[in-house]
Amino acid sequence: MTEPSKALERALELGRTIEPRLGAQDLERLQRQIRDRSAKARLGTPMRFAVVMAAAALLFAGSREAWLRGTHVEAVAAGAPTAVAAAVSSVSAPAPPGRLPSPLVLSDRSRVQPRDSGTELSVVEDSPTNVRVKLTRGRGHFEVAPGTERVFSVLAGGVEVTVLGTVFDVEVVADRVGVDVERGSVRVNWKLGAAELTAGQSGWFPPLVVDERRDTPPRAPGPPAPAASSIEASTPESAQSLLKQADAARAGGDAALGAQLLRRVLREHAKDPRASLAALTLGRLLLTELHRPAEAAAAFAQVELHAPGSPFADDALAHQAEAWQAAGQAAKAQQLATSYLKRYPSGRHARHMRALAESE
Amino acid sequence: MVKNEHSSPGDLDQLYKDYCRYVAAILLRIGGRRGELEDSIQDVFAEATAGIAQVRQPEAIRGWLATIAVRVARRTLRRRRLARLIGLTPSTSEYESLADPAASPFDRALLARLYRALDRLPVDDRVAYVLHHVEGETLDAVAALCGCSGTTAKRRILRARLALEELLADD
Repeated sequence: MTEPSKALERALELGRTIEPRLGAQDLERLQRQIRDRSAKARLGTPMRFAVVMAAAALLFAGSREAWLRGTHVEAVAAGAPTAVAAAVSSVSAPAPPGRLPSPLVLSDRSRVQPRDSGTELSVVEDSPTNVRVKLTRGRGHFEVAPGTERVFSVLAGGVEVTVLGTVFDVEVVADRVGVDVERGSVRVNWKLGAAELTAGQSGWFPPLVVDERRDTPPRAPGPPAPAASSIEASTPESAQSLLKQADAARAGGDAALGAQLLRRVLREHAKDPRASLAALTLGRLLLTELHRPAEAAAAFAQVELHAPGSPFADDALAHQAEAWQAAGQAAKAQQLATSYLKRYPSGRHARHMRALAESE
Repeated sequence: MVKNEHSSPGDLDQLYKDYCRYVAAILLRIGGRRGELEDSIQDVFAEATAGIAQVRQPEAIRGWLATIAVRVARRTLRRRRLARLIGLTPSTSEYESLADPAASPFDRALLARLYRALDRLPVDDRVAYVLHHVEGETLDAVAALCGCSGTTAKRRILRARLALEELLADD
């Protein structure tokens, strides 16, 4: 087909940016009206017949407003909707074990897909100029529609990821937020800094701060030591350094190297306060990137081993149950889910664990 | 038949939450009238509530909802045309508020002109054209959404484009 004229092309560009501008209250009201309508539809024909006759009478009376309202006649006959409290659209856990929650599709056709069944997402704002999605837990995959002028932001912990027309993943693990850009570019902001990531880049934020003076012994003057090119270097490395290398390996796409480095932290620095975080990160890496769920379960089990009562303990126990489920060990998964519910009846993962414990 | 995740009442709420904005955007971009939008959304989800259990594949829900939205939009447009035929001519000033509030007066007026011109097209031509050139759907997808062949969809889109070129040139 030949190309349209400039005026038509410009008009079409504008047409693509038309937004419904439905706020949270509008959506909540509509939802109630839909429920009411569905309930009334089950009442049978007498109500519907009365409404249709009313509509016909209004039509013959020549009422322009009644005709144009169409189904408003039905809504008027059914009674006015009541005011409702504001609510935020959300995609939340739990989906049935082994299945992902449905994606969230925004008005500009941007899509937000939870990456695992424990992910919790909510839309904080969806206006013509701004979209803000909050990732409370888990991992989300974001496909932001190009060609719009809206600012799309993901809030996760103390980190904000801002994008314009791109595809990326954001993951929350304990107090760290991972960002992985597939297409386009994103800007990551946190309290003390900012970074830009382009396609193929990823990182964990806030980044680890390495204080070389604190963590490595001072070197005597002389020729520099050979670079540690192998992870089996004989010189012991600090936990901080190993964790930083593991981050870098994951950011560079080498999950296997990252896993090896994290295992070194657990082996060589078992008493380090960061060991439990290393175990949690190792478990996540084994489960979601290396797809070795049985090993992941073992890693998650080490979180409490290294730090009883760790702040990550409830995450680790829940993920351990999920890992055994993924490994096909349903009985173990249910047992752990039940343990979780005993220990953390109101925990963040309680809904999901309840579903897992009750699954067949 | 595979039971999909949205078949129970709680999941129908989730269906609404997941797809309401998506459905609203399709309806508004086809119809152009914010005043009709909420009724049309209700119509779509009322139909969806009745038919969701028939959807065989959960991953087909999005496309299925889009099909219902297109059907509802066509019904609304036909009702408008009938209203015009019997002398109940609705105001088109609503089209001025379609564009982004930050748009220039020129852009707002241009978009309103487009939708007034779309009002003058046959409903099927309008719907196919908007689906293809505004929503960005492929010809195959337009055909599926409109329930017609690919050839018919292509013909409607071309006819609409020629008419719009003429109408926008005349204004």
